[in-house]
Amino acid sequence: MRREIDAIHAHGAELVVIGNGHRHFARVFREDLQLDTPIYVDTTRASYRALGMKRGLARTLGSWRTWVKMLRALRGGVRQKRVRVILRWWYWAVPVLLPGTQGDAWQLGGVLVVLPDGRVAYRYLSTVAGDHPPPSEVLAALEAAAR
Amino acid sequence: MERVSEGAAHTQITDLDGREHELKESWAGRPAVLAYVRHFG
Repeated sequence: MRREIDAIHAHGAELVVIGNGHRHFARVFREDLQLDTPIYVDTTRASYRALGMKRGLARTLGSWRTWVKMLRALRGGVRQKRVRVILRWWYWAVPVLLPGTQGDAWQLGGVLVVLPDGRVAYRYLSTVAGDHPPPSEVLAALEAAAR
Repeated sequence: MERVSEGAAHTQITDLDGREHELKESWAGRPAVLAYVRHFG
């Protein structure tokens, strides 16, 4: 969603990032991505639960099809594809290898578009690690809400 | 259109300076795209 910040602002909205790791890591996250948007932490994950976000080992790891695809990409394919697969695995492995530091490894996220009166114009709950909504859907929800 | 539940709206989140806020403050006054991430790493 970071690349869509300008489009989000053009709709009079703000991108708010919420994570469940310690706020020191959130600061590093902000600096690494050069984000100038509100960032919060929810270390108890109460808001994750209240909004229905999923959590669990099996959900985070994904189906066996996901792993087959990843192994096939590692064995064959172009170098860029292998690098992407390795980076994706690392993205999953770091919080598992260093539990409690950068966040709960098994907590999945999601995206909501919430209007000032509390109505939810869009809701996307991730079902596996790396599952993100198409930014075009989020922007379309903002567009529709503005009408 | 559904609404954020009262329970969710009142959950506590913490800004990078350590100040506590209620989740509902994040959409006060303008629409908010809430991007919940798995972790910061």
